[in-house]
Amino acid sequence: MTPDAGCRQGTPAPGEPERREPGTPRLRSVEPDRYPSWEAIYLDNVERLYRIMYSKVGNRPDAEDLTAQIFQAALGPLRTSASIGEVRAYLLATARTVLAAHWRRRYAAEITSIDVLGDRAQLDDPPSESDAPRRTAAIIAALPDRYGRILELRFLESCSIREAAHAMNISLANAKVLQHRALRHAAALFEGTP
Amino acid sequence: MTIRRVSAFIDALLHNRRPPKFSPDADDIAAMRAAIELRAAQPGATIPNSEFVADLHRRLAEQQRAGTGNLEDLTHRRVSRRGLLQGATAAAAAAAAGVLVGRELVSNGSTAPSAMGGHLVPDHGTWQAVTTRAELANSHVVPFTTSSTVGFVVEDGRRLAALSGVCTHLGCVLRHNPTTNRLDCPCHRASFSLRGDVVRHEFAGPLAPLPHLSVRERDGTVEVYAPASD
Repeated sequence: MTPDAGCRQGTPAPGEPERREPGTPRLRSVEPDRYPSWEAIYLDNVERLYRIMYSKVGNRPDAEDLTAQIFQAALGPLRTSASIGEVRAYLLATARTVLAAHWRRRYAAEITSIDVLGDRAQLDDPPSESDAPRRTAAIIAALPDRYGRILELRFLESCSIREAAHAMNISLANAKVLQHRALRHAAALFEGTP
Repeated sequence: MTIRRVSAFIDALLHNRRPPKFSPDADDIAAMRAAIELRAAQPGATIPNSEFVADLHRRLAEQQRAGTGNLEDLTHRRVSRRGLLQGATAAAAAAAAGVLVGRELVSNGSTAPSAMGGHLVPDHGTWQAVTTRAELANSHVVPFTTSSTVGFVVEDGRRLAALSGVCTHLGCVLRHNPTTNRLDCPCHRASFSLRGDVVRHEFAGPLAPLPHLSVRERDGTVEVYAPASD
């Protein structure tokens, strides 16, 4: 069967010589995507990286400091001739080091870390804003009632620990213990969910 | 009492403040991790402040202008291997240093590769266990990662060798291809022999061979001499 003129013909099978009309230019491979400047690297990645760092530290001042440290450390050795994938791999490797040093300095323990595969996927394709609250609501719903209630009051309704204690009719000290236990329980659930 | 400290940590997160320092135990760490996850899941929490983005942009531009991180200078600057390894050790711990080592050793297309390949000797290195003789006896090629270096240990007959596992083109991490018994670059299809020689590449200019690291065996444990992590 003769292929239609508009159809794309397949690449030659291994061992089969490439068919080329005399005089037609040889196809040239396209350069992988590259950033034209350090500013393009920064502008394309700053929000992506900030979101990852915020998800690792949970507060704005630390997320800002760490994001700044990553760019300040990474932009020197990076070359603009590197592909976008290589630039992001390097940014993430730097982020892993910066985050580990942050936790070591602050708590002498690693609280969270960069997952090179999972976080790389987020860096390439940031998840929708609406995904995380749904997952959180599911985690809270899976907790025993009182655990779920105190986390709901604290994290979804922005109550202070004193207000949460009052709402649950328990002492302040008990509210802190309950919150601690609820978070440990939630941690186990988070670890079990993708 | 760490429950009080963890509560203060959570208060800080909920008010977007920097949390206080303390010494958490394993239960505290689990609770802190969950608190971070819950906080980050709040709608809009992870969107950066536009003033921060603009201010960091300005600070980086000043850094670039001051030459402390000038991309063009760095692209064309040659760095000695000893200086490089010393700098990498001090500047970038853990995996980032491994990437840095790889990146600074890559050819830039304007220089012959004669200064590359060869033997890497860090100024401040330590012997670091990377595999065992028993594992090598099974597979003959074992990839390793230390806090500063990625590479392969190769057993060729009774001789041990350790090679950098970073492509000398753009610093991609190489993979051992058991079919061809070569080290392949997943980025641009360069390939190296288990001795570090370039077998194939598609670049216009020459490509440097892989550098070797010092390697030894002690009581069945294989160690490489690599930059210390901190």
